[in-house]
Amino acid sequence: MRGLYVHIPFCVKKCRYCDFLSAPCGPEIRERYVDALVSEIRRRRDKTGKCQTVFIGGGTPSVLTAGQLEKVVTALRESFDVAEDAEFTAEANPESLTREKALAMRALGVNRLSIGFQSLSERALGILGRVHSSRQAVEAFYNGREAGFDNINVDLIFGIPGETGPEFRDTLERVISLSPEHVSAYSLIVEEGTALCDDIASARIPEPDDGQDREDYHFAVQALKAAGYCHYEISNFAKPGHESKHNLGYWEQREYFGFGPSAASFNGGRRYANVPDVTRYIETGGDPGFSEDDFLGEEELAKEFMMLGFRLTEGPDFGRFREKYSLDPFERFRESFDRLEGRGLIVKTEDRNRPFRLTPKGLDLANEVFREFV
Amino acid sequence: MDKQKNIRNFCIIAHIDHGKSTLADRILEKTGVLTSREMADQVLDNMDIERERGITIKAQSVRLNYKATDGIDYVFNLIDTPGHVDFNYEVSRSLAACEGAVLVVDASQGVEAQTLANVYQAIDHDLEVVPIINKIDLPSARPDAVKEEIENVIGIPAMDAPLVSAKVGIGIEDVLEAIVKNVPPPSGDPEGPLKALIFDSYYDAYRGVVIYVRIKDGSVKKGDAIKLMSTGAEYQITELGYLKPGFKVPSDALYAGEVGYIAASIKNIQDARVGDTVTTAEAGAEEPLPGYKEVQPMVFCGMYPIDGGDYEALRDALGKLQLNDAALKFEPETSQALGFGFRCGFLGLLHFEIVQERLSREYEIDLIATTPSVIYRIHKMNGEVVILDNPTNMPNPAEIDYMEEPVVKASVMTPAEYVGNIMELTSERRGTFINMDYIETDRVVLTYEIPLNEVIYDYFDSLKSRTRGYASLDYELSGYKRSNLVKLDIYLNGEIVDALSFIVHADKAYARGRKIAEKLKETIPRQQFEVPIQAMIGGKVIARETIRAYRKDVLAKCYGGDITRKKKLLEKQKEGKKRMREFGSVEVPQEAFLSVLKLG
Repeated sequence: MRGLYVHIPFCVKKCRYCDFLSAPCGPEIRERYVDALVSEIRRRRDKTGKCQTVFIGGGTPSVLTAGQLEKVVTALRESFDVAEDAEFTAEANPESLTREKALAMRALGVNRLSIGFQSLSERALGILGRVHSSRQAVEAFYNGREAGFDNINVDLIFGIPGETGPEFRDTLERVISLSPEHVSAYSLIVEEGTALCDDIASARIPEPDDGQDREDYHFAVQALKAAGYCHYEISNFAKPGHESKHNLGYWEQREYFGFGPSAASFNGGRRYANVPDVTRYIETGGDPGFSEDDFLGEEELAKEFMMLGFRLTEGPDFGRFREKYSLDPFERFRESFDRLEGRGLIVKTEDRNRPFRLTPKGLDLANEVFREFV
Repeated sequence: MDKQKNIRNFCIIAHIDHGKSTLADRILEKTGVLTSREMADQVLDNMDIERERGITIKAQSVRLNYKATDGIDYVFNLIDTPGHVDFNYEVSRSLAACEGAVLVVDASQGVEAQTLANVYQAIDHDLEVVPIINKIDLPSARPDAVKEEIENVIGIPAMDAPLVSAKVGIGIEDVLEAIVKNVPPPSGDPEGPLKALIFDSYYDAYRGVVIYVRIKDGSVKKGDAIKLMSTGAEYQITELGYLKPGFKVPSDALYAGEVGYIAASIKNIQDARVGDTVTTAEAGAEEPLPGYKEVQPMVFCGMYPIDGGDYEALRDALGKLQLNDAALKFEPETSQALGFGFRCGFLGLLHFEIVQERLSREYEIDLIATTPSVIYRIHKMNGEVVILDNPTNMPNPAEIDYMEEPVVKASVMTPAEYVGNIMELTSERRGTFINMDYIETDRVVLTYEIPLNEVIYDYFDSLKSRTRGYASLDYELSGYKRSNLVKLDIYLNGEIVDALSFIVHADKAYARGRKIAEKLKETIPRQQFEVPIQAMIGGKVIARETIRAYRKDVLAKCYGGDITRKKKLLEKQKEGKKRMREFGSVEVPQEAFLSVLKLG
């Protein structure tokens, strides 16, 4: 089982909180970029295993034209063994997800949309520096539905400085009423070097309040559960059977190929990432070299397995761990489990395969758990 | 005898920033040891710390050849000396190995407090003082006035002093000629029994302790059996020679008047004390050389390894540092909060910082240091006198009749316009004015008695900042004085942190307690629970702050492209936590301790 990821490093305008590799650019660059991307995909052709998931992310993939998307998808299908029933996600932002774009995506085989709402409060959208209105977000959602998408994710952000609890609850309730199959609700992380970070440093907007952040999070967990979503990862909620297979692949330490600048690939023992530089990527015809290239030993992989596995609310899969590694997870990590259990961050379960999971406190302080495994 | 006649052993003394190291570099360049292109800036300051701070800490010595205008080839031994007031003792070590001292005086700044202190030291050692006027290229230079100042204030002839700009390279040859002419050649007995003064030493992993010596009488050659006179320990010389900048040149023998190094597989650090005399094992000298006055540390604090497993390594490292840092003293102690460590004695706070930095850089030991303390005398009701260098051991206040603290006599030399600022600063620091002398129409020396406790923190820095860098300071311990002192304790989450306790004058306790509590609040990261910080005297809380609890510590996103980056972030956080100490389950970073003690 493997996944394919394609990075589209373009957007209409850089959001104030965003630290991903993405920037606005003209049509000519986009065209040349797509050519480089296609070269990289063809160069790395590999049909030794079936690909169960494809994910086109960004940036904003919906800024590409239908023709450009088609070139990319064709290259993927020709160079990799993409399963008939693969989960095929494309990210989209409200300002560029027209009904036509949605239909074109659908025609290319995309069967899951991930729409970046972030908020339905105009004030919060302004602070985040989003280019769309809340109304456009809802329209984009309907465009997706009308184009036939029956698996849609909505991305939300909470803990936005200056946003009140009622504002977030209103956003969430309106999203629930749209009934998407999947909701990702992210606690805002103010990353260094972003415009938002400067705004806070210069006191143009207040410091995020982590009390409010947790209140929002706890509300989201409870409201989404009540609406029939299962909380399967720290920030992710899905109606039964609609968990993101692609993202589960990351947390279950499965193989993935990443294409485009900054995209990472993992083959089970080695993780490497393309140099995060769009110009260089284009100039080298999609072969910019690696900015990281780590060969991971069993010990390190085993720890990483736990670090990623604890993101899942059911906890890491010990059965799979034993299949992959010669270590016994209990023996290897006994001290860590004891310490974390003693501090009330994880708890024992009835499930033999997944014997530990995060407690509610562990969900708020999960980094303390992850730090045990780095 | 001929050989001896052509040797000149000298050091360079100067007030800090008057250009001593630059001059030394120019002399190296002029004598062909280095071409200017090869020369890294300030060759003699070869510890990283020295380069970064632009100060000389350790004495360095180097041998140079100079063909003078009289046609004779001279051998120069230049011994560089430190300039900061904390390191005066190093100066005296260098002086004992020389016959002359080049006195560098800044052409615009003139004579300063340390210039005087250094000159008097040199004169005490019977050295010939050769004044030179540096920085004559600056527009503000007033060489004639400075010459007059040297004659009037110091009382040595200066009218023929070379006018130099070490920076630009003017007048360097005049300096070399003045050295040839004015510094007397060494006068020891080349045929007598060996007497060599150890003026420095360091530990080398392959050669054992390597000692730097000045041969006063006799000679010594490779293979000789030598005796270190204070312990009687005997060793066989495996290598000897002289010193060039950055490396050693082995030779067959060292003769009276020469300066060089000796390696003799000396494994026991205690055997090679600076100030001791080396003689031959057979037919050696009867009497050692006078040696050095033992330096007394004035400031004490506890040093604890962050990682308890480093305790032995710390002991070892302190021993090695002590080899060429005679003023550093240490003995084991334990703290409730910090575990096993050492009570260490220093000359001042700069000395303390240097030692701490060297331990971290050269030995990779991370430390927590407790608040520095001077030595107090406590007179108890029962007549007993307790000598206290660790606030933790302070007796119960009810048993105390009165306390005394050390005071220093400080001279501050300054342009007259800053007298008001200095008076204000010094009275804030509980200084008592003694007198004021005009050395020129617009320059004065202020003499004060100040509690040492007030001087060791940031008095020097404050003095500099309130006089735009013009004032200079020198001080010496002058005795003990009765004082109204109290012990201030810091509590974190209800538990005392013994390492942060200190003794302070009652009038200042409130302000300092409040400052410390504020600083701790800034530097201790938020914890999972609310943490009260209290400053207390006896049972009474005099200041209180609260660190709010954090409620969120979670990476919201972690997908394929993020995993490496997120892992690195978590690793960094974990490293940070390792460097913290737990007090009553509160994690306190090392920086918190440092920032508190920097508050002064």
